[in-house]
Amino acid sequence: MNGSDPQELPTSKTPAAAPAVGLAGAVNPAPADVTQAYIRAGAIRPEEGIRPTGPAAAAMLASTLGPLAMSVGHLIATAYQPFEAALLTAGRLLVPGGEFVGGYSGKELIALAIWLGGWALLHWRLRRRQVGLTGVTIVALVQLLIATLLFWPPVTRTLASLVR
Amino acid sequence: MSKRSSLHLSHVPSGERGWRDGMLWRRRSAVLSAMGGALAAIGAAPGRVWGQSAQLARATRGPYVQQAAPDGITVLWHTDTPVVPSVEYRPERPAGSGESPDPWTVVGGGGRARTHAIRLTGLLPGTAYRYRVFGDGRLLSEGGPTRTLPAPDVGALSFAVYGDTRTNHSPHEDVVRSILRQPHLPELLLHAGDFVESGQYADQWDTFFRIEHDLLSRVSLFPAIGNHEENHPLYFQSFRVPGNGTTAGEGRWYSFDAGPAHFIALDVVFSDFEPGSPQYRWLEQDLRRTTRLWKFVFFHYPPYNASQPHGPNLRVRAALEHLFVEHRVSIVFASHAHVYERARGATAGPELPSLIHILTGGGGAPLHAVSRDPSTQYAEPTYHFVRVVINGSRITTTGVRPDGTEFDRFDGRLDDAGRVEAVTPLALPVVVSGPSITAFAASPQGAMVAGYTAVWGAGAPLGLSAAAYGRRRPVVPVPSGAIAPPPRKVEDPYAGWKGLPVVLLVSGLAAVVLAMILLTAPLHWLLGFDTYTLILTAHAVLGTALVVVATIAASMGYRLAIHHLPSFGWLMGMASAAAALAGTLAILGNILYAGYLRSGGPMEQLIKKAPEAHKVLFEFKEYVGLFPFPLAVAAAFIVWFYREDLRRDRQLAEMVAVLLLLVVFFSLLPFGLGAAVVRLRGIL
Repeated sequence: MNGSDPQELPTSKTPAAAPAVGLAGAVNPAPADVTQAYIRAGAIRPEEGIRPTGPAAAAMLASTLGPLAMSVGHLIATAYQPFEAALLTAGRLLVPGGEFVGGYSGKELIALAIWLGGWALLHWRLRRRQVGLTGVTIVALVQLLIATLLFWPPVTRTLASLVR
Repeated sequence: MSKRSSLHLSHVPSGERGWRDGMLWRRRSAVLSAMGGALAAIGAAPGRVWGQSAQLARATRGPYVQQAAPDGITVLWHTDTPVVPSVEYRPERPAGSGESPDPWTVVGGGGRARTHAIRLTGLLPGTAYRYRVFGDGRLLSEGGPTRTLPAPDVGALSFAVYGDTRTNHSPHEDVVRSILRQPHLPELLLHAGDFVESGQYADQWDTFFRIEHDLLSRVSLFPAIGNHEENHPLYFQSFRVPGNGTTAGEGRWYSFDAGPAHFIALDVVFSDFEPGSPQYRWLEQDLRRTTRLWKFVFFHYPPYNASQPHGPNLRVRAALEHLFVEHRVSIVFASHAHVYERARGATAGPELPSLIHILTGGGGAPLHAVSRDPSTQYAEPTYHFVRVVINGSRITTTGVRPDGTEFDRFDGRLDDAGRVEAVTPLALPVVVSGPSITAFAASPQGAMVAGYTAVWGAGAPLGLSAAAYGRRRPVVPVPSGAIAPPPRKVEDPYAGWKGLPVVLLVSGLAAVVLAMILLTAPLHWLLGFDTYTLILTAHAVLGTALVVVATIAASMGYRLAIHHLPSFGWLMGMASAAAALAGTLAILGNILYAGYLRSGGPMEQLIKKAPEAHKVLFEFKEYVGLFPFPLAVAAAFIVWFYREDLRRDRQLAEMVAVLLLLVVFFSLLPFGLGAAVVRLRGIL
């Protein structure tokens, strides 16, 4: 089966509704048998857990996407002053006490919005997906590394002067 | 390189008769080409042949005028190659006067160089002059007309004040144009600091002078140093200011007279100004010596400022305002905050007029939000310059926006004691607020922020989810005892340990004793309590706690990854505690950063003594210090969401371990930088 729900397999709501595919004579299968039935049907693999890994991937990717977006925003604000001014105003208006920390509040605001909004969107898209976590971890680490580098003042100034 | 002259005759007649003609043509063309080549070679000969540079110089900055006086003015300019400079000047005759122009007077000065400054002396007061600058005898540029300062007996003067022209070039250009569009150009300019974003970059200074070229070629600008100049030599090389008679503050604090007024520029950023300091003593003497009734002082940090994030500089106020009041200073100008604000300062006594403070930081830097305190008379977050007109004993100050509209006109006069009092009763304070949220959302600025957030908040996740789509699979509907292979049963080595109650008892007693000590000890003698110090202490304690908790969580994550974690409860608890601590630290960090940025706060001291520490330690630390929060939240979520699945899916367990390790790293990084900041207190 190519990743689609095994329609014939019993569910917790209807444990005895239909016999499991491949199970001969099972009318009320025990829980372990149900799981084994999913495995035999190819719906899940033996090393996988109860839930798909998509939500975990979403959480990790979003947690590093926010800092990355903040760092790129910081670079753009350094190179392009109208954007710095826009972040200054946004932070002052929308972040409690934002007027006391200047443009920093605007950058915090976009980091928060992108982290939480991106997490919600990623979770919705991946909630039923089994995602390879090794690749996700690598992508998240790269995002975090780039974010850290972009905040280092000599790097920011150099890149900003190239972009200007 | 001069153009090669070329004489090329392309017509060669053909045919037999034409062959003969062709020979003649070819001979002629050869001779003419040889002559052209010789001329080209001579033109390209080394300068010593003709006394000119092989590469012709051009002016890369200026010319602009500086250090104006009733009898002289200094002309400055830069060239791209070294040249021997000279200046020609003559009085400007009014158009339509019918007078023939005076002959040019030539002034040379200095050897071969790229930076040139030539002082024109023996000029007439209040007179307009045209000038031309030369390099190696070749005309580079014309400037002016520029006007010398009026004589002391002239009772009228007009000048313009502005500051914080840094960073945003477009509004800076608008402000300069609005000054040039005035019916009468000001006779001098005061700039209260922050000319450029970072004073160490020559290209930023070039941009500043390019924007201000038309203005500064005609009007002399008198500068006061700001924090963004970074105390760099480029600032001092760009301006010529009157000497102050001391070597200590050369170029930093100085004074000069113009007509009926005496002007004083101070350095409150990089030089000491407290009583007893060389600058303070000089200021006292200078105020005592001057006989002018109108006295204006300008510098960068504002003693009165209701706007954020900087607020008022109380150190400057405490150290200097009493001098200004005692010596009847007319108006104090400052910038640093990117707003306009007029405030009433201290007074010599009841019923006496208050000292007027005008904050003019709207020359181009990103605008701040205005607020109001008891001293505020008018505040507006707008780009602007301030026009000041003196006529006898009357003064008018007016804010002028880039579109030419005026605001906050203040009319004053000198009373019998030489203090400035308002001609008309002061109106109720006016505070012009900035845009509302809805106005911002509908503005181009709002569109920029919304667009950026949408691209990253929607576009990036969609792209990432498409790349990491994986295969669709169901949630197994019933919890299974064992999904092959079954999870390894982990023995809890601490199960049944009888020492736990003893440990809990001792820990509880220690906590009670510690609480009693904290509540009853005179800690204010130890810590010098104020709110800021309390928050600082809490921030340090919680930061330490985060490092400890994150390390414990990471070690549990490691045990999870090697299938040796006995209890999810502890892992869940530690991950959640790390997330809570990281979030609290982010909030406290914001509060502390606000205190750091305020006028008179640690940032000013750091910029003065260790500017690189400000840029690297604080800018970098503030941003990476936010990273642990989302990482810890993600880790806590995954542990809560998956629970026993973490034993079944090895990749999941390893990812949690990596997340918790990242929390440790990004807790240690700002922790270490914060410790370095504490170390800096010893040198500030």
